[in-house]
Amino acid sequence: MSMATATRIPAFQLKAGLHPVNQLILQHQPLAEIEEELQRRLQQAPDLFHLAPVVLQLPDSADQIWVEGLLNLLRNAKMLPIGLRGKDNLQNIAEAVGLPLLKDSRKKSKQTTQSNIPKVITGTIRSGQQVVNVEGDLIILGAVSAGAEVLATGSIHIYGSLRGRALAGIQGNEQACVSCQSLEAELIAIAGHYRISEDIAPALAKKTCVTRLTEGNLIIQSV
Amino acid sequence: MAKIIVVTSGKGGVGKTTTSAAVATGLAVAGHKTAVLDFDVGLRNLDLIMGCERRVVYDFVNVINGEATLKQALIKDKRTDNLYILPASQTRDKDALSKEGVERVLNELSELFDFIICDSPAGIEHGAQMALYFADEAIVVTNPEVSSVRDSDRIIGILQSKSRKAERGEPVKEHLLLTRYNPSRVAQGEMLSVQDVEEILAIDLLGVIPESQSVLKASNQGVPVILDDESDAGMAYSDAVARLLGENRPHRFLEAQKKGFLKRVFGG
Repeated sequence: MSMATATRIPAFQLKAGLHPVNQLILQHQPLAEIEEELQRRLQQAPDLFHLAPVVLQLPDSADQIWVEGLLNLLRNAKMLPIGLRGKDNLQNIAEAVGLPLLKDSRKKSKQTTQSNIPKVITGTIRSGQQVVNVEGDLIILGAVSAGAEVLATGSIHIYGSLRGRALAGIQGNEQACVSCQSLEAELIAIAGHYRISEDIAPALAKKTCVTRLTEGNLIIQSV
Repeated sequence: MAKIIVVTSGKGGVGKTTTSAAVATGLAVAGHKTAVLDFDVGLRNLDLIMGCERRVVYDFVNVINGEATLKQALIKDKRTDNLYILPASQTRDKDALSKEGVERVLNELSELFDFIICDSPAGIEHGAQMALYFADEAIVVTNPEVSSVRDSDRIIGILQSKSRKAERGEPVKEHLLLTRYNPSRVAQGEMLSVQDVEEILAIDLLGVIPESQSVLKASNQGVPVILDDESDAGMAYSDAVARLLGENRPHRFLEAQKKGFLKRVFGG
């Protein structure tokens, strides 16, 4: 019997997967207006929505009748709605129309960046030393020497000279910033975007500066 | 209980042994029973600077290994009372310095002396770590140039993380000793100034030793330069030792000497 169980092939396998799906972002408009728009698009590109799976991003004010009408409209246009997105109050509607209400994955990542347990270090970080905070901001009440490295998932504030390396937002937080009393850094990085000493404008040397990430560019400003 | 002071720097050739010899001699002259230990196993130099190289019979490693007693290995200085030298072994390497062995020797010395000066080898490896591990205080010898300053910064980091006091959560008192300082080159911008180095290392300044011919002469003669009270380097070391003992003395030899009229005319 143990042999039999050992060789039995399972009926199915459960595996998580990530598949990109188009989203229809909808306002609470009369269905006639939506149909009109749909027809116009279909004329431009007849195959665009043909058997295409879509997720519907619903407005907060959506009601069941409106959603049912919308689904009919889309299915007539040969689209395949596979899920709904929206506030939790849409759960009842989702159950009634037999589609899942998908969780907002972005909300989750926001929560992780919000949990910020700052780490405060008093004194100079010497050459060869490394200080890391994987739970939030890092505050150094002293200098960071050349050859030293400070890293944080959040922002880094240095109340002395920054002569070594400072890497903020090491888990991808693009809102992180790096501030220091005197900028003499070997390297500054935010969320993987970095700048080495050579690429820092000489006019900023030894100035009190804040570095931020704006649209993928590291912006160093003296304050 | 003796106070254990390590003389360290990270970088080589900055004047650790010269400083160890000078400070140990200065403390002994001031009436404190002092032992100076050479941790530079395999590259023994302290005995030369102290002028006792012809009297070495046993060494530090012999004592650690139990091949000789401390009393047999300690060499009494001929010029200065209260001063003893424990030379390094020239034929061994740094691994011969076991932590337990070093601790035992230091404990034994602690019973006999007021001050124990540990002359560290260059680098940050085992030998240097053994020299600083048991220290109560540290003299960080630094030259006014960037690589020496960075290495000193590194060794201060090690003092603050890997010494016995650090492991117990106590601070090691660090003193900055700037050596080979040349005020006229500082004025020309060729050398870091005292302020530059102090700003980077952020520890108390114990003294500034001017670059001087007398240091090389003293080394070759095997007479610690602090005994040359004619030379500015010797005087600067005397000031540093006085400060180490708690005296408040102003820093000297920080400004370039203006050449007098006769010197300008006749040179020199």
